[in-house]
Amino acid sequence: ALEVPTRSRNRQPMEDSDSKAGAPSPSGGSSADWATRFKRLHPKEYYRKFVEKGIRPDGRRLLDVRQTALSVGAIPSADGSSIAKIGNTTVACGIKLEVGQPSVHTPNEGRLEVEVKIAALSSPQHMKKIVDKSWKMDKPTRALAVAVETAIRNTGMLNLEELCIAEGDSVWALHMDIVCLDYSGNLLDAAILSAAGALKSLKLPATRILDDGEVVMTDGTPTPLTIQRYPLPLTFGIFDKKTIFADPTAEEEEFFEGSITIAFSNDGQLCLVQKSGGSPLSETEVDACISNAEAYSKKLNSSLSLFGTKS
Amino acid sequence: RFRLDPPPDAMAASGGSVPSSARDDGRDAYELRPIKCERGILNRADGSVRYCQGHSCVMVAVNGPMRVRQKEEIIDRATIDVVFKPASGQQTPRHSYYETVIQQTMEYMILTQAHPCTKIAIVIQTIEEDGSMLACSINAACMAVIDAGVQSRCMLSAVSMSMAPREGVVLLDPDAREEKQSGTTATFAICNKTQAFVLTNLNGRVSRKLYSQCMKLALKASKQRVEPFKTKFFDTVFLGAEFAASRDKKDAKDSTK
Repeated sequence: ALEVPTRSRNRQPMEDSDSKAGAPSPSGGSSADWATRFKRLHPKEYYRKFVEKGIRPDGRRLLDVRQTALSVGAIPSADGSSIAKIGNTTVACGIKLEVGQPSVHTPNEGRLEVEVKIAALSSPQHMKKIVDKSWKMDKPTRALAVAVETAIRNTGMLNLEELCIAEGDSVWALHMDIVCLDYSGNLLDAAILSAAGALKSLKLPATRILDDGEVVMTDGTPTPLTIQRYPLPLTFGIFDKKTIFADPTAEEEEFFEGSITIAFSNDGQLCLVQKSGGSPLSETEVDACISNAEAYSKKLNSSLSLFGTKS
Repeated sequence: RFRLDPPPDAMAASGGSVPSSARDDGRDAYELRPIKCERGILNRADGSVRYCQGHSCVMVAVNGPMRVRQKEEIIDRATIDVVFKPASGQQTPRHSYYETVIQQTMEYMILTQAHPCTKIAIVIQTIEEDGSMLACSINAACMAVIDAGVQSRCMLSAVSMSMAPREGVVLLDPDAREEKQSGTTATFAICNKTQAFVLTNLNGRVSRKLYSQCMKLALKASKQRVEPFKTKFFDTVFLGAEFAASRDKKDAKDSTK
């Protein structure tokens, strides 16, 4: 967040600085102001001071994840939708159905097309994109879309054959749009959760095929997808080559040296271990991340009860 | 032959059987395809390499450090621009994903802070696709970067493998048919200085145990087979250059006598 410098309040003559609450600091003014300046000038050093004690500036321990919430079916106008929140990071996902033709190689399989958009209002860094009004994704965003699609595909959450209406002629094409409304770090996890939630809320309308092959929707009850597995992700950031912390915020993402995203499916199988570049991790470190991700995925699974059998 | 010997004990101990039958091309399960590499093939590029793992063939050209557009420049580092072109057909989002992944991996390998406000362009052209394309591209890009003489932190070796999760069988360096058959593949890129993973990529689902074994196998394969190949390759290049230089000096001395 943009901080408004409070100069008038802290311009005190040296004699008065002792009378204010807080220890006197070298440059005068309260210690809180000194901390802010230190953070601006030396963000990594500032962060190191917290990490030495095993916590992070927002009070979390190194492996704590921010509060996660998932609201399924939040957008009534979309065929399937959800909104996922991890801390302040908010990602909305909407699925629109379209009847399309299958590819020649897979005549009985539908399609899933994922597009990701980081809205201009999500953070000051992305506001510069306000000039580019098109929905075309740039490379890092496209990579994120492929990562989300890979996570969904690896778990086998979506059975593409379920999307078939008439083999070789008509299948359902799912156009999934993932929009980041608030960028506070860890976009990939939130995007994966929201995509999974949207697929859960999706209901395929009942259809009837006319004589000329055209597909019309009837008034029958819409069928939800049969979902047995879904991804439960956790992203770690790497700092100073050795420190690994979970669920990075936007500030942490600016200076961390790499990240690794691990997703487990709800039946305990690894379905995504993605580390592209950044500081290398030894085998034991990757193993440790996988253990932490496994423990977290079990916790997440039980708390996101909407994925449980009762729903 | 690029066989790993001895075969890792971890596989046998865990109950995952080591397949006794050879694969289609006569390899063992833990055998890599023969690596072929030619350098300096494009005379307009600063560094170029044609790298083949069996039938998977990739040509990489590296240019840089070169001028960069102001939109893309970074004030304290070099920008790394990767273009990945498939052998045939249009670029799909998956190829853009490969571009991003390879770019982030190369950003670790190349000492970008030695060349601020410049660009290092890596163009990867697939010539033949026969499985393990991501691993092949990373290996080739690493060689081309060294051929171009761009200062690098380390050397990267990439290995890919396909797993059959139910049987616990892992095949190293799968070709296209094996990749399609198993449906589950993993690619690893390892830094030779720290023997740590710079890149991990997983397609499909596996158990945690199988994945740990894959990591161990990847480290072993890269250390025993891929890295020695690369070091030997460049050693011959540099020694050859040194020999030629000393011979020229000797000729110059002889001619002045």
